[in-house]
Order: sequence, then structure tokens, then C-alpha cells
Amino acid sequence: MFFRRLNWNIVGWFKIVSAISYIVIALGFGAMIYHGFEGGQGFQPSHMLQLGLSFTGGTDVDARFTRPVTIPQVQRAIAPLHLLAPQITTAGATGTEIVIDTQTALANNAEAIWRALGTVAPVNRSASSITSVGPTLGAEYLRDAILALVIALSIQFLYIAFRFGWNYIFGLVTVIALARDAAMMIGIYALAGRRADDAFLAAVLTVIGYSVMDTIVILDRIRENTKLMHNRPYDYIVNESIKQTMTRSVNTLATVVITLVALLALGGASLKNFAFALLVGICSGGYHSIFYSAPLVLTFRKRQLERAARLRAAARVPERAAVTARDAGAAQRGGRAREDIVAARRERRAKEKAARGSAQAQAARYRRKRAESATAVAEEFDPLDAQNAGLHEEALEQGHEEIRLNLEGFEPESAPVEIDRHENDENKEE
Amino acid sequence: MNWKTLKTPFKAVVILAVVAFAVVSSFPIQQKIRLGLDLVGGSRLILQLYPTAEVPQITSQIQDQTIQVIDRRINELGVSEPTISKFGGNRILVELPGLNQNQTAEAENLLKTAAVLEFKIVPPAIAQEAQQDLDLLKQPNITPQQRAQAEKFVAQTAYALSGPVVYSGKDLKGAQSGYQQQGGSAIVLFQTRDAARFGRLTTNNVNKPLGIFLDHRFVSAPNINSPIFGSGEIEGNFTQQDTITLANELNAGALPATIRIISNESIGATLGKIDLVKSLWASMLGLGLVLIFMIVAYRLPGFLADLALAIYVLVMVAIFAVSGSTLTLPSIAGFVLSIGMAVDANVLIFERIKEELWNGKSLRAAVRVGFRRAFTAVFDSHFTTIVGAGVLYMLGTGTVKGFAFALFWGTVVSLVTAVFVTRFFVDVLVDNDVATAPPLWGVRKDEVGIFSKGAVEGA
Repeated sequence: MFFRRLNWNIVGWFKIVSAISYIVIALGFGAMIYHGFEGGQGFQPSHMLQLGLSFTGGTDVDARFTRPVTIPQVQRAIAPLHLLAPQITTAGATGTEIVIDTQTALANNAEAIWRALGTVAPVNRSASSITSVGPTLGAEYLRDAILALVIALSIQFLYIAFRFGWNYIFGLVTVIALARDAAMMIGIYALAGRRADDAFLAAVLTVIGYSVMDTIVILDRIRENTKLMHNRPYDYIVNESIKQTMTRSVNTLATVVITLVALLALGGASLKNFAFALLVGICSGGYHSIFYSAPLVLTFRKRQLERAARLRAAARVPERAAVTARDAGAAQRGGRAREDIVAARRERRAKEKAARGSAQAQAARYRRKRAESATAVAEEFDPLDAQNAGLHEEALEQGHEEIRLNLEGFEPESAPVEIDRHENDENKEE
Repeated sequence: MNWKTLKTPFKAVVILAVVAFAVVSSFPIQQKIRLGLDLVGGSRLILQLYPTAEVPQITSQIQDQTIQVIDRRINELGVSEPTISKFGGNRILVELPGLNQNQTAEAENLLKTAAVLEFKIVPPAIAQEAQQDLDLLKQPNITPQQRAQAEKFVAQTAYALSGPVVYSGKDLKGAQSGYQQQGGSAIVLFQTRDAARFGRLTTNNVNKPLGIFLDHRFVSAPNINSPIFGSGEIEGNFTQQDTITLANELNAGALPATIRIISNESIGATLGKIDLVKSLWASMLGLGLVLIFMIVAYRLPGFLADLALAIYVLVMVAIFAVSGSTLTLPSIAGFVLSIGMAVDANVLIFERIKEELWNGKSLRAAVRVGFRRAFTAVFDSHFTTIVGAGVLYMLGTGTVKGFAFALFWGTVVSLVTAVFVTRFFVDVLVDNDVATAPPLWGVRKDEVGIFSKGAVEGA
């Protein structure tokens, strides 16, 4: 109820929403390029996003000593092992916990590092851990991870195609929203300087599914409302659809986010890893599916109509010939000849031009049109006629809050979409 | 009595039966749920087998032989419930829960070393005692003291009290289990590489027991009945399984593949316990917050959804108990995430019901339409999540598999509990006209019918 009552023009925020998303992604990719140049050996693509050690191979030691130790002490102790680029950091407040990261795989002789550390101070092994993966195994894990991504994406694409097969705009929008989520996750990981590990892969796969379903729900509502509100402009329908599904979107997001925040706040280290990755992805998914994907439908629709208008303008020169050519094209595309409908429209518009003069007659005609539209027959309804007839002001008075882009309000179920578009363009130009 | 009147009691019985089954199969919970190594502490190692001159190719059989050798060595180490299994075509996965500090060092060494098979001439008395102890160890109910004593003799004393090593396992070509041509009793056939030396050895020691030792452990001491050169057979009171085991043991020594540990994840026991407690608290908090959220946002149906969620949690625990899959930190993460996602379906449905009430429908109609219209979206959400989790389960690495397992089953189970179980509760109330006041369903009295067709047109 809350969101439905709000007088928000979410569709109008599209530019800002898109810009914010672009800025985050750009920052992330900037960070990736910066990381790529780090190390002073020119640009190295492999440095752009740090991969977890399960993908690169390497060793991660978390050692707890029985008394505080310093980093130089540990450095000296492990020097004889000749580890590749070891990074030693202290963890915890007491100074007894040391974390060592290296690209050397110590799996085959993990005891060596414990012996070396034991020379600094006694190590409490039951409170310590080591994770080590060989480089070959890491490469295999990475290959499997990429394979998993490709397979999951393919299945999602197939599903999207299956759900929106009739409407390539919806499919495209879902895919774009999904790509943005992925880009945002990668970008935020690069910004935070975190390693993309198993948990990251799990989160990406989960978030892809989550984002797809969130987008589908909103787009389904647009589809449903296009039928219910066929006498409203398309941007109104989209805006209303977002508002109607917003409580749902926010609540489903909230239930997931509170569980993840609980994990992030109380969970152990590896749980935090999962929770962080999922939180980033799910929030980005929610942001895009609510504020980005539905308005993007509108943008695509606008572009589609404009392109069609341009095509028509180019082919317009001998009018009669263009009409025939178009009809032939329409018949080819839609499998149906629509000459009769086109003729009817032409006739009606001629009448309208004649009637333009008395405002009263216009108002009467608009009311009749609204009544007719309830029984919706393709050739009898054309909302753009109202605008052409100069009835825009009256439409506003009648409760249309805003008609910024009065492109179309109705898609006849039985007619192929293309044909209506052409005809709307025709109206627009006149 | 027709289906309509029987429907509700029938559903109630089914739901109760599922709950009862879930509770029974997961009780007592500490015994039924296997905790992963990251929660109890321990080592998870992946061993890679590399071909050598003697073993040009790693086959499934070689994996089996190596597993047998490792299993024997780990048991001698005294690890409780180790898991040793094939992992891909040329790898072995070893999971050792609850190792102490000294054991990890030893285990690492034991796993890497190739098996050593040796032949010794054993004094008959020693051979007899070793064989008796070996049989004793196979008995299920012996005292720990007896076990320790027998184990010590088989693993150490017998080797020490026997003569020098007279033949090495490396000079054995191979062994197979088979059957005697006459009588058909199970035997082990073997071939030697150095027929002259084995012939000399057996000729000089006819009627003495030839002890077979694997990693210094007594395996068997068959009597040399006659001189053996290129090939021979070992007969005894064997079952077929005995001969397969013995042949594998002979082969393990004969074909030492090089072993390297390529992945090592070891977590201290204390660390695991801390993580377990932390993550349990985190999941409780997450679950509690979701329960409260649903009641605040959706009132009565929210409470019904909470009941369904409780059933969901029970069923999930039972799935972990019955499937025997281990509960790891990532699987807790998947489980907690699936709690948040399980109520998604309820959110979708209840929002729909609210909308239908705003559209001026009666509660009964709103519930019916709400469930029906929301189902497409519910199915979408579950399908897309199941795809992600399923792919991750098939291709993910060890740790992520647990996450995928929990998320996969969580999504499947929640589809049932959130849709059908909640529907049942809601139907019971609505069909009996209990609690039908719109405020209980999250819609204020003055909001009922606010978006109905007439209202919108008139605005």
C-alpha cells in the first residue's frame, strides 16, 4: 500500500539510476585497471581481479601462537622456505595471530611451515588452520568455475527466451540487468580489494538466478498491466507496475538481506565471506530490477518506435508505393494482410481533421473513444488520436497525471506488434 | 463422504506425518548430523597419483590398491572415522577428522610414502601367533586392550622377530585373485619378476612359512609347499574377498605409484568449534528476524507462513540427517540464505492477496486468485535459483558443494512448504470463516476495494 500511494515517477529517474550504476561499475573497473598496473611490471591482466587461492593455487596459513610475535620474526623464520611473494599480516587484538598468504603451494609438505613457525614461538595448532591448493588443481577449479558460469548463464538465457520469447525487449532487458549485476559484483570486489574465491562464484550464480526472477516478476506485471490499463500511456503503465510490485520487491529483498546481515555480523570468517559476496550481489540485483530494468523497457520501446519512424520516413517518398511495400512487408512478417485496417484508420483520421474545430465535439469524441476502448478492437482504438486532436489537456484533467511520452497505450493481442508500431509512427508524423 | 470433505483432514495427516518423520529421523540431532571438518577440526587432503616406470598409467585398480594401503596406514594411526575415496580418475580424497598435532605430521608422511612390500622367512611360531592376532582383530567384540596387544604384534613385533628381507615387493610382477582348478576354492595367483632368485629362495626354504609384510605389517605367511619360479599360487582357507584383498596388497607393493598431496585443508579443532557456535547463533538470529519480519509485514498470514517456515527448517534438518551429507560452514550459509528465500514465495502470494482485497474481492476469492496468480512468479524464482544451485553442485569444488546442496534442497523444499503448506493453513481459516477481518490480512478496513474497477474509473 505504501509504495502504491507514493507519487513517484520512477521511470523519470532512469538517467540518475543508470548513472549511479555506471559510476559504481566504472569505479570498479578503474580499480581493476589500477590493480593491473600494480607491481610495476606494466599492465598485467591477471592482477586485475585477485582470484582466491583455490583458483590460483597457493597457501593460506592462519597461525595462533601462545605468545605475541612480530611480523619480522615470522619473516625471518619462514625465509628458508623461499615462499613466493609471502604476505604476512597480524590478525586479532592480542598480536598472537598471524596470517600468511603465499602463492607457493605447501600442500605436500605443510609440516615444513609449522616447524618454521614453531621456531618463533610455540604454535597452538588446534586453533590454527592451513589451506593449500596446488597450481594444477587450482587451474582445474578455475576451469570448472568458468564452465559452471557458462552453463548456468546458458540455462538462464534459455529460460528467459522461453518466458519472453514473444517479446525480445523483455528478454534483452533481463539479460542487460543481469550483466550489470555481474559487472557491479566484480567491480565492488575489485574496489574492496577482496579475492574472488569459491564464495564469490557461489554468490554470482545465486545472484544471477535471483536477479532474473526479480526482473521477470516486474516485467510480467508490465505485461499484465498493458492489458488492464490499455487506455493509459506506456510510461504510466511501467511506472504503475514498478510501484505495484515494489512492496514485494522490497520485502523479498529484506528477508534475504536480514539473514545475510545476521551472517555477516555473527558468522565465522568463511561465513562472512559468503555473506559479503551475496549481500553485494543481492542488493545490486534488487537495485537494478526495481529501478533500472523496467524503465529500460520504456527506453527500448521508445528507440524501437523512433527507428521504425526513421525507416518509414526514408521509404515515404511516393506515398502510395510506400504503403503497398509496407503492407507487403507486414504480410510477410505477420503472415496477415492488414490493408483493411490501414484503410479504416486513414478514413478515420480524415474525419477527425474535419471535426477539429469545436472543442465540445472533440470532448464527446474522446469520451466515446474511452468507452469503445473498453471493448478494445484494434482498428477502433488509437490513443494517439487524442493527442493529435489536441485533447492532451483534457486527458490531464481526467486524471492522467502525466503524459510525457504518449507513445502507445495498447497492444492488440491478435495483431503482430510491428504493424501497430508503423501505424503509430504514421500518426506521429502527421 | 467425497473428496471435498476428506481433502482437509487428508492434507493435515500428510503434513503431520512429514513433520513426525522429520523429527524422528533427525533425533538425536548430535548423532544424526555429520559435522564437516571445518566445524570439528581435521584435515581434508587430495592426493594425486603419478605414473612411474612400473606404473605407466593410473587406473581405477591402482586407485583401489592405493586406497587400501592408505586405509591401513591411517587406521594404525588411530584416526576415528577417516574417509578415503576416489576423487576423479587419478586422485584420492582423504578426510581425517579430529587429528591432533603429532598425528597430522605423521599422517602427512604416511600418505606420501609409497607402500613397501617385503618377504621374510618367519619362524612357524611367530607366523601362527601373527595369524591368530590377525583373525582376532577381525572379531567385532574384543576389548580395547586385546586389540592394542594384537595390533602391536601384527604391526611391529612380527616383523622384528622374523629373519632378514629375502625378496622385495618391487620384484613381484603382479597378483590376481582366482580359483583353484580342482575344488574351486579361492586362491591368489602371483607372478615374479626375478624367477631365478625367487626359485632359489623357495627351494632353500621348502616347508617354511614365507611372511609377507606390507609397510612392516604382517599380512600373511603361507607355507612354501614346493619351489616357485615364474608364477605361483597362495592357497588357504580364503573367502573370495580375502583373496581380492591379499592380491591388492601384493600389487600395492609391486606397483608403487608416486603420491603427492595437492590440496591440504587443515583446521584446528578449537577453531572449528568457535565457528560452529558463531554460525549457529548467526542462523538463529537470521531465522528469528525473518519470523518477526513476516508477522510485522503480513500479520495473520505472516504467522501462518512462519509455521510453514518452522516445518521447512525441520525438513531441512532431516534432509541433512538422512542424506548423511556433512554440515559445513558453506552449507550453513546456503541453509540460512534459503531461509530468507523460502519466505519469498509467501511474500509474493500475500502481496497478491492484498492487491486482490484492494481490488474489492472477497477474502475467499482474493486467497484463491492470489495463490493462483502468484504461482508463476514463485515458480520463476525457484526455477532460476535451482538452476544456479544445481550447476554449482555439479561443478563446484568441495567447499562450495555444501552451499549448493543446502540451497538446492532448501529451494525445492520451500516450494512445497511456502506454497502448499501455507495454502493449507490459509484455507483452513478461510473455509471455516475464521479470522476473515481484512486488518488481519494486512489491509485496513477503509482500503478494501480501494482499487476496484469502479473506484478507479470514478477517480
